[in-house]
Amino acid sequence: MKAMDCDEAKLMLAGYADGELATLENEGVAAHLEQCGRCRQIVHDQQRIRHVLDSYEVPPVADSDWSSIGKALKAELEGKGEPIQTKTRPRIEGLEPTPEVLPPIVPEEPPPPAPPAREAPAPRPAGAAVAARTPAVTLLKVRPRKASQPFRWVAHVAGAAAASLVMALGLAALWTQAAPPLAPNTLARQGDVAIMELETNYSVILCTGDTDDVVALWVEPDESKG
Amino acid sequence: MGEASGQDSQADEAAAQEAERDAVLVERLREGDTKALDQLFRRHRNAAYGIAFRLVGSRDDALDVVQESFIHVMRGIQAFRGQSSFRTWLYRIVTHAALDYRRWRSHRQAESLDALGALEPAAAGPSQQTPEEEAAERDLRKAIDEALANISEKNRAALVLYALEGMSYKDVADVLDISIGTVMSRIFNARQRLRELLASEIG
Repeated sequence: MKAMDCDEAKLMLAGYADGELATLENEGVAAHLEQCGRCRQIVHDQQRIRHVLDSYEVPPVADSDWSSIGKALKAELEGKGEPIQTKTRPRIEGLEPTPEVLPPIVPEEPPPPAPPAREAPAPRPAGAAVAARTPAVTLLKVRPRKASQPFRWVAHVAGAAAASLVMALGLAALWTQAAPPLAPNTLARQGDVAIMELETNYSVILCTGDTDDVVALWVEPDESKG
Repeated sequence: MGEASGQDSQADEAAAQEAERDAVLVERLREGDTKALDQLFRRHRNAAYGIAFRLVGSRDDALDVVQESFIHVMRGIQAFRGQSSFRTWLYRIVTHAALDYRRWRSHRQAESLDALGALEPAAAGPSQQTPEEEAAERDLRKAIDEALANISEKNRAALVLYALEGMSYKDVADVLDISIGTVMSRIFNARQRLRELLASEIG
């Protein structure tokens, strides 16, 4: 068998350190390690970090905490009370109406150029294709704002402007991709479209998006309105 | 060698039996059986919490992630077609929910000026350690939390899943829907990065 060089061996050093290699690969790496002190040191480091992480224990959870969660889940299943609003929306088989393939956590490739604006909307594709077609905008945040009485008219104007802006963004997104509307109190992900009615005591904050090119929108209801 | 392969086959058999029990409970959950939900929750809550805690770095946040993950399970169970085992499906949900949660929290904390790195120290349990040993362990745990927060999501997810008891590269590959070679590469890179970040703590 041809001897491995460092580049070939490096691809398998974690597997060697964890005993996850097939017999032939294991023998090849072992033969390389007999001659290479640098790779031996890497294997040692890999095992050391593994040992450190193995000794890292998560803090215990009290039975009362598990019991509370169990009760909340049971109530949800039985349809008692208001449905629990989640902050997370993992796109996984069974959790979404269309995608069957789990898209990567971060898109592997940069998105291709956007299609011409006047093209007829295409059916929503599954998986990463959705991410690729998502406009590279931004975080849009809507949160309650406490307006004092003399400035209430400012809040009305701002609310109306915010509503127009969100509706325009939502319609624009709908124009390019037929995605389902997003419910309030959920964190938007790639390909989501949010349309909502804003009330006057809300303000809108636009921020720059992160590297995921996510259209993200977070809505907090104004609890003071009851 | 023969002994090792015998142990592997016993482990495979045990895993298959566990998967079969899960499948029965999943069928009952589809019919709205709350006892089946309770059993699935009890069987998998500790592992789900282990994944979530290592990804979000806080006990309370991890419990939130576990609750949300099981809500996603309940809401998606009718459409779950069993192409993977329930355990794989659940771990996938927990992993992605935890990463979602981190993003959500980082947006929230940007407003409140709470640093993402200000991870909650582990709850102190009964211990036989001296105060000095406890302090050293607490420092190391904090350093690990901070180091984990500073490696990429993809690498961290692979490392965290592999740290769970009984998980193999193949299991991690199934959960993350990537190849075994990619799992190996992500774990390698994650550990190398941790080695750099923890150089002063572990020598």
